[in-house]
Amino acid sequence: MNKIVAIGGTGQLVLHYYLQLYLLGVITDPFEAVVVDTDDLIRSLSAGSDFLADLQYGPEHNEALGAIVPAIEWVEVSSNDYNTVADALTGGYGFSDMTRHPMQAFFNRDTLVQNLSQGLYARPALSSVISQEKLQSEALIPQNDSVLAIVSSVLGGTGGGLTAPIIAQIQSHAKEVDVTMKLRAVIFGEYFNPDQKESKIERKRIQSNQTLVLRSLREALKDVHSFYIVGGPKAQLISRDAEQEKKGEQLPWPKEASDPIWHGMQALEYLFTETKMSGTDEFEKREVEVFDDPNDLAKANTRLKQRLLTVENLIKKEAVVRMAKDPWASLIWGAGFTRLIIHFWSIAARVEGGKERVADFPTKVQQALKTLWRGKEDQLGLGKLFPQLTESHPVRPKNLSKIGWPEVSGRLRFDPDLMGGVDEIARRAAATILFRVLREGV
Amino acid sequence: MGKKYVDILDKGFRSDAALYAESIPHLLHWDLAYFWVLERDAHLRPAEWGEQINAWRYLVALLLTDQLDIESDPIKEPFLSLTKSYGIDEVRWLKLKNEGDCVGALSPTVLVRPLPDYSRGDLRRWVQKLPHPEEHKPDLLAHFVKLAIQHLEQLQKEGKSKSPVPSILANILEREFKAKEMADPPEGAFQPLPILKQISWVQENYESCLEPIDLLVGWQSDVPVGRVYIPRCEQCGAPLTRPQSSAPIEIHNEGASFILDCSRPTCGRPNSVSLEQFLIWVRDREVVVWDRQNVFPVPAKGFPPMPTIIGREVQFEWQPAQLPGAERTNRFLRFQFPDNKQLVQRKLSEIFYHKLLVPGELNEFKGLPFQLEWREAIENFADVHADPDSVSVKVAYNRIKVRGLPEPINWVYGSLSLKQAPDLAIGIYPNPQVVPEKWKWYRLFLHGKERQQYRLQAPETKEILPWLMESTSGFPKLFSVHSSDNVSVSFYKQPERTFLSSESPARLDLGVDFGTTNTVVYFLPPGKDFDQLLTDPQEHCVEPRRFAEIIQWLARTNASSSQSLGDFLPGDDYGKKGAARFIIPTVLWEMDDRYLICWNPDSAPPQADNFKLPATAVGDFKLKSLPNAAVWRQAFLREAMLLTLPWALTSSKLRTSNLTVSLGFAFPLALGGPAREEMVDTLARTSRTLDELTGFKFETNAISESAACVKLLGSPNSYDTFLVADMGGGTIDLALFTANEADPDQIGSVQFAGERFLHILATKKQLDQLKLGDSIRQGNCSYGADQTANLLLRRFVGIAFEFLRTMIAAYRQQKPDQTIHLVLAGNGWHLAEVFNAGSASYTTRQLYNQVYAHLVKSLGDDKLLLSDPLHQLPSSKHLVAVGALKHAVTQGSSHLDPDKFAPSRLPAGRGLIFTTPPDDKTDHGKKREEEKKIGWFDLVGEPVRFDVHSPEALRKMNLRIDFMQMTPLKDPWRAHMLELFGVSQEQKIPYPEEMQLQEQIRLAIPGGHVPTLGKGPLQLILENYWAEWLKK
Repeated sequence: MNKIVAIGGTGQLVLHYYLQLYLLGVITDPFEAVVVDTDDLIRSLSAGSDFLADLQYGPEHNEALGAIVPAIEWVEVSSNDYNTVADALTGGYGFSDMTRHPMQAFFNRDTLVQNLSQGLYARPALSSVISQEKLQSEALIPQNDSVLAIVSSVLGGTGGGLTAPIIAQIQSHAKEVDVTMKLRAVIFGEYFNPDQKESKIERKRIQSNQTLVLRSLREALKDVHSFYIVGGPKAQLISRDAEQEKKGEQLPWPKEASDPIWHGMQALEYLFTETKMSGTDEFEKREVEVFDDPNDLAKANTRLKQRLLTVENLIKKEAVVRMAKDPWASLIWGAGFTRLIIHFWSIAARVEGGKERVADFPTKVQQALKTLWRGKEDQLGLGKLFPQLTESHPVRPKNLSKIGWPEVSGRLRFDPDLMGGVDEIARRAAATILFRVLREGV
Repeated sequence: MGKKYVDILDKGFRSDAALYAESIPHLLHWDLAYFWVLERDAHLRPAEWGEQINAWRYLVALLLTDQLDIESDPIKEPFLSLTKSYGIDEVRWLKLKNEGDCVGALSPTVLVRPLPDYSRGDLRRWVQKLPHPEEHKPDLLAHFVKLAIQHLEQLQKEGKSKSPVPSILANILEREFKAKEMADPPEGAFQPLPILKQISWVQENYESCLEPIDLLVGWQSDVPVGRVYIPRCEQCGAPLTRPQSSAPIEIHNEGASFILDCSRPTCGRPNSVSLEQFLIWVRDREVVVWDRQNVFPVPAKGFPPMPTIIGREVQFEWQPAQLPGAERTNRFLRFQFPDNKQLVQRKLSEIFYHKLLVPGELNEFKGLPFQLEWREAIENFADVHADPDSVSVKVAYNRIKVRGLPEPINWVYGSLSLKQAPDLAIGIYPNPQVVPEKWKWYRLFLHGKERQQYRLQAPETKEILPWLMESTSGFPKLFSVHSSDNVSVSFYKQPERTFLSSESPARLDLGVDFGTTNTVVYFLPPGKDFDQLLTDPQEHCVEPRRFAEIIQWLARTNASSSQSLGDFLPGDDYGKKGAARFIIPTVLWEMDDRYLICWNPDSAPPQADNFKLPATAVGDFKLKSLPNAAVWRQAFLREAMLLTLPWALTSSKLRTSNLTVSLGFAFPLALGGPAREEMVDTLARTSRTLDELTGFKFETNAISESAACVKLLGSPNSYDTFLVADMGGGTIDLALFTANEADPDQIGSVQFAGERFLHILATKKQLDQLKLGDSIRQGNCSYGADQTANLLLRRFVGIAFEFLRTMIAAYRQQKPDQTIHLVLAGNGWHLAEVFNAGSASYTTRQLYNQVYAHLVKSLGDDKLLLSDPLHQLPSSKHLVAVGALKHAVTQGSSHLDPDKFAPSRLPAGRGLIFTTPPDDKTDHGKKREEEKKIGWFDLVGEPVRFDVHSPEALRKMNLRIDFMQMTPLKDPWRAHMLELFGVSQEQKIPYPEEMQLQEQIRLAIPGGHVPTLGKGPLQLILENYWAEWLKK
């Protein structure tokens, strides 16, 4: 399975859209994703990750009913144990110009007085050293014969500072466990206009990072097969809303395919699927300069609207509840859908000790559908991962019958430990319904 | 292919680009930055790196010509845990040879490099000490550059190194330096240097990323090339140096100079030479030989050679090359000091703080960097001042004259040597500008939420808290602040005086209502009469929040704080709402033998690591006879007056030091004889203390609180009759009088007041009484809608009014038609506003009037009027303080007179019948049982109006109490009383056991010669029984 290592805010943003395309069935193959960031996982990815976990049916973490699904892991590399860099490097002891501390041979005073709790101030040197120990995560180890793609920007403290050490760690891990992989990278150069009031980061520092991190990556990416640079000196710079991005709630889709994030996502898909480019020793020649977008933005947009409308109708019309009361359910809603409900209902009856004890199972599934999609007070719903729809029209039950529902007969790889009680089973049933409607809906 | 990558790098390195080393994601980012900048042609490098590249060239030149000392410094945890994954466990610093200045570090990419904190101008300073070898020894440098290039190329060619660094470095050296071997090669030595094996982020098995190479560099070419001081003959210019074998020069004179004779036979001139040129300072028992490190700027005549100290001698040895004609023999000077002196080599850093604390804003910083014990080492201590630079975050001190140095030096603290504490303020109270020179009491304090991390040190002061010092010997000119993490700063501040030392006599009158809960102070400046005060009372009332106006801030913080300032002055929020604006709480923080006014019981002076002295809030001590109460009273009065006086002086615009302060104190009549004597003693002590600490002359005039009200409202032209009921915290002080009459009709003090109510409520609600009191004072009390509190208050006020009703009714026995103005003074009555469900919908004054007008009406006396005669005062609480002030103004006496406490006269309230005991033999030995009656309307406190020869005899008489003989109860008051007591008829109103009350009446009979009842039955029922009944 392909692996995405998404580093920093830009990496997370690309993954945010990539996951949507996967859930909509635009991207066909499942993947593993590891987010490495000093900030928290953005809420949409967190919601997506929880949703994928709710799909688990078999013993493997990515084993859903009748499908292998993606998995998202998060490697947190924040270092907030101390106030300042100097404190972190001295264990909290002060120092002065008069008695030199060895760290002063490596870092200037501006860097040493930075307050770690307020970020890394776009200093790649700082993050690469401070966060180094936290990169020893098994999550970074790729599978044998897989493609591993790094997605990162070289502009900020996190992406700029961690990309090279992460690549080095991955290569070292792979060597240790004797794994062969194809390493690819989507690197974001200058693509946004830093809001200096907001971020306190000057543009010239970002440009310095772009130059020197790329220069460093040349050393780190010795084994890279191919890489693509998004943005750069001549790129049209976009504006970013850091707060909105952190929330990741109903972020709109780009209007143009040239949007750097969409473009980066296409580059990622391209590097995953590209098979013709031959290896070369010369680093500069491994750069991919142009490619055709594997996915069409307009088509993806149409699919997005169709699938979201179907889900909305499923919830608004209380389809599962209605279906349970319907004597001709199989005829109207389709055999696949009804069999799926019955399958989970039977599991619930077995777990709870009798069908009469789970008579309200369809209602619970319907409630779970609503909760999973719309969220609760402290939990973002899966629906918020997608942009907000402005239109609505009814979807006929017949459309649901056309969905490729998973087969529930025969020997299934089933993990009984996952089905702890009726509420959990209803939630997993609802997640499976949502997954199928999004991926296979018509 | 690779177009964008190449394009980005080309643009990123061009001359107008900004390149920051910390953009490189690697521990060795500075080494890589120099390496990647240097590997490009000079015209393709960022221009901003120009000076740093020149500094690098200078260091390489020094390295190759053996002008650098290399010192290893092991890296320790926790930094080591981050560097060891690169296989790096030490730093090797570079220092200018014989100068000691740290200028850089060995670099595994470019041999050597400046430190990350290289500042513009550093190179110029270095070259001033050690000239650039390119100018001074160009051939030698070119020779070793050539050898270095050859060696680096050879490593590559012979496969001795797989690192890409040597070959690139060889190219760099070739491009940057002239390289040419000398025909007569000088001696060289191998210098091991680290070279980076590869640029990596993971070192397998923590193997070092460095490999050593040996580079041949110049050896013993280290004749110091900097400027060296050589003492020379003023006449012939010959060096005054001598052979090593010649006798040492004995220094007897402790002054700075001595005589050296010129050794040239043709000259022989005696020359006066200064010890300072040799960096020597002779102090008491020590001869300090200063280390040259950190002496900057370099003295114009240069440094002497490095000294060698042996016993009482110090020797200086010049290199032959440094002397004219490469002198090999006469190149020493030895100085010998007396037996009682010890020679010590010291570094300048010993007298300066290692790290400098900057309290407040950096651009206003005025602190000094010297340790207080080294003050004498600084000749111009008073003239040195800080020159802060908030842009580059540094503090410079220029032209510091250190004894023993030939010229003034500069001392700079960079950002890493500064600990900025913008939230830490330093203040002195009072500002010396508002008090005369002979004022001796000052408080030096730190303010800010992190103050407990710091400690003040000031000579001749007493520590109250580690961050609060008190001086009783004058202005604390010199002090220092130290943090728990060893960061310090000193301050030297001569008091600025604007206070004119006028000697013309003046008088300042103060009136103090020393209350059980709260204290109020009024002042009347000279030249103002009392009527002016009454016109504009707020201008004459002490407002504690404004004490902050006369703090002298040495460091300010913008952070506003509701916390006490320096833990002894009220915070910004104090008195902004609630009744506290003009109030000093009569509450103290007690910390062992240290006392401060408790402005906020929720905010005790904090504890610190090295200071564990729990602070306990003590209040309600005014009337208490506890052993400590007298100490608390004295401590409170001292504190309150010392805080108040500077502000009163400022507000009065007083500018004379020949000032007499007349203090009018008001006390309750409730004080018994011993308590009165104790109070007199307390006042006398306070007066003496204030005399000593302020330099002013103090007079004290005590007056009872009731009498103070009489004094205030009394007037020869008025026939108005007043009943002033001043309910404070401890007592209701009562006075019923007619304005034009000298003596009041009734006067006295009942111990049934605000604190009693709070005590009952706090007990019922399980609250902290002090905190409850403070929340009322600050207007934050949240029990307005509490039913228990409402009911309790109605009963409490009703009982108090029952006593007032009795007083009025007793008065009516003599003057049935006189109009009486009822004046409810004191904060106790204002509890009605706080504990009332309707308080949110009325103004306090509306509520106050509504509640009490209703009660007055219920009494059913048409000629009783609720009155507010001095409504211009901020609160009726202030009547007493203003009355005490009027007393002080009119008294003009300088000594205390306990007789000014008028005797108590209050109605008995219930009937009393005294009878002589059956066994008491009277006239003619006959047994007689004659009844002596005291009616409810009779006044007690005066001698009893029947024949009994002594208080003792009065105590022995039989006594009966007629509970039903009382002021007739008429509706609607009757109904109100029955409802309050929850009974259906007046006979069921709860009373104490008769025997118990009899005993209390007897105990209240004062000693002496005159048989007198101290307290009547109603007063005792109120103070003891009904107060307890309320708790139930």
